Amino acid sequence: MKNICKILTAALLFIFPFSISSVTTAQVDLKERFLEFASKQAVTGHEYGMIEYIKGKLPSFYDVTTDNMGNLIAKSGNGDPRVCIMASVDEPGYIVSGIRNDGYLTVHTTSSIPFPLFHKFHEGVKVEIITSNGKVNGVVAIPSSHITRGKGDMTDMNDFIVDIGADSKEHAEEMGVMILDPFTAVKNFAELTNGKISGPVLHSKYPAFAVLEAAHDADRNSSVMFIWTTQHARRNSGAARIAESLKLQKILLISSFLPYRDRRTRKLQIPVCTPGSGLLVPEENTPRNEFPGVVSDILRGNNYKYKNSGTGMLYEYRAFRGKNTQIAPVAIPVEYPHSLVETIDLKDLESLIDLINEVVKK
Amino acid sequence: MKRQSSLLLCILICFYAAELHSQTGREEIAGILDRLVRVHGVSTHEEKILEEIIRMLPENVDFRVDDRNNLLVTIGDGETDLLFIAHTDEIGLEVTKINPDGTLSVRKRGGSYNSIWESRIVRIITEKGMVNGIIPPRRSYMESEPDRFSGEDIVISVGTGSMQETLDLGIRKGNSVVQDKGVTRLGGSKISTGAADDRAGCAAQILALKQLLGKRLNNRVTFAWCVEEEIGLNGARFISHTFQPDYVFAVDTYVSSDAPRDNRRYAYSPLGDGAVVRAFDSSNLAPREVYTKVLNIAKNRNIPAQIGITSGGNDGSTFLVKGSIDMPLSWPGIYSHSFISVLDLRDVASLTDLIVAIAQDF
Repeated sequence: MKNICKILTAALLFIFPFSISSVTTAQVDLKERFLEFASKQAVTGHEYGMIEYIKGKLPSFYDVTTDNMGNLIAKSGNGDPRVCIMASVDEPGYIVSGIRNDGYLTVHTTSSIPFPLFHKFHEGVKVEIITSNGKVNGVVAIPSSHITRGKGDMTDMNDFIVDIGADSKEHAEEMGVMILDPFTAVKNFAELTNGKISGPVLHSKYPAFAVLEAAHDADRNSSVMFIWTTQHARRNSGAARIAESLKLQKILLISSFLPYRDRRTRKLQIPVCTPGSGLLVPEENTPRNEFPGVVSDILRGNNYKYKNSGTGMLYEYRAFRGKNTQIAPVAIPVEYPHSLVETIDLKDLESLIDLINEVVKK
Repeated sequence: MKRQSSLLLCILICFYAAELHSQTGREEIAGILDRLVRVHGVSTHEEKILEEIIRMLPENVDFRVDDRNNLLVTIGDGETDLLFIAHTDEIGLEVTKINPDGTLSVRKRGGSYNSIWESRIVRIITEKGMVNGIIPPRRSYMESEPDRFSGEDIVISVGTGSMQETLDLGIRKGNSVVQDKGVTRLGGSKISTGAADDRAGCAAQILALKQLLGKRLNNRVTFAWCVEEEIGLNGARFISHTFQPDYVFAVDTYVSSDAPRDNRRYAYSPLGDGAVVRAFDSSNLAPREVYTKVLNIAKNRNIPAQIGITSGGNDGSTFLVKGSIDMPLSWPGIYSHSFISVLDLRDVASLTDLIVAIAQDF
């Protein structure tokens, strides 16, 4: 009996630390893959780099196509897909709208950003411009505190000027910068305690990342379609094209639930935004049909941590209106959305990937 | 014809040799500057940057560190005492309180716009190492008319939910807080970095000292790297209690209005036009015969230099009441007291050359 106890203790001592470290390693790997993904720039209308990145990461058994909007479709198995997993890849960002004679750049945004302070948060940060010749570094001009003494507050996009160190328009052009070149703030992330990650535009990154992770995990014989759409922030043009070109029955839509202003009341609607709350699914009073019910059953049956939440503006509903498509939206909470310190919890992200995997299997 | 060709060849060789020489100088400056700015040294937290500068001093040079942590090196003989003084501290934050919810209240060290801290990732420097944090945007940032972001709104979240969790991370009252820094190359010979003020001055002094060692000097020349300029010129004032040089040359930023969002009524000293002889600022008005003499030294040695009027104080002014003459030297810098300050490496090279020339010819 004593010997059995000793063996059992030794076995436990061996297994226990191993199990802890393997979980930790998995989380670290997920974090590193996510940060690599999130560091890729994909300004609305300029998602090609990100689309190529996702293509490069897909297992070879997928039948991969892109349409002329840049949407990426990866299909596995035979026959019509049982289910489609969809997310958009674009992020709010900027384009060069003009090059001044003194070499400074004026800017515009390709996506409608409802919160004017989003632009102000970029004041005094480093940016990366994607030109046809490669990346060009720049900074968003800020008044000098010694000279302007607090009187030069950025009020609108007219104050948004990018300095790339060029002395003239010709110099800027020699550096490869052209009108319409996209740019964003340099992607700077921080890992906080308790598995939280902070950084810019995470709300635009985690959905496409979660779908890529699930595509990686899926069985080659599953009849599933994974779709990454473009131009979500531009009238959801990518998804609208998909709605017209493909007959999709069931879509598991991975899309952030973001604050928005009610058109009638102008009141701010804020979905659940506390990282670590688990998954977010629409509130019970949202129009329901069969497929979202299936997803809810999986959530309940497998003891997922989840919350019902307002969804914000989900443009995919509009894109697929009248198409006889059942859409089940799922999200995770994002704190401080549309700031440079959007925060998510990796545990929520893991949970989201698990849910997609289960939906694919079912 | 042959003579003409030879002459042309000679001119070309000289031109390229000069260009190659200045390029090398710029790369050396960029390298030293990058090394210096990556070491954090918020006012009163300057031990690490002091150690780094000591490591970068020429071998076998005699140096002393006074009771206030100012670093001093004296070379040469002569009756005239010249002091070159650059400061080691940088703007930042300091933890004043750990709140019951685990967040950190802070105070600013050195003057800066509050907005350069809003929606930013920060690093808290503790005895256990660096801890990541974020400064969330103001509560009302999504409203159509958001409240003003004041100094009291600068609160750090490290992802914890209680005071104890924050303490467990090693965070204590008094810890300094910084943003990431590093040299980013812009167009031409311009770079962007945080803490250019006054690590560029520190770099220029290190390079000048290297060039002067072993040279015959007619003056007694002291180089000082002093603490706490940003919070009241404290390091320099401490030195002034025991040392009264005939001339003090504060080597510090010249805040230029050569930037898109600053008014050019004054402080317009263009980047790339050379070192600045900072004849007038908020703390000092240099005598005409002294700035004329310095400009003539520059002219005689073909060092690009310009005279300038700007805002802000300088360390040399603490020596005025004791009878020293203060003649600050600079490079033109824009976006002052931000984390994207821009300067032209050619100007720092000119500044270094000017320090060497003054030490030898003044």
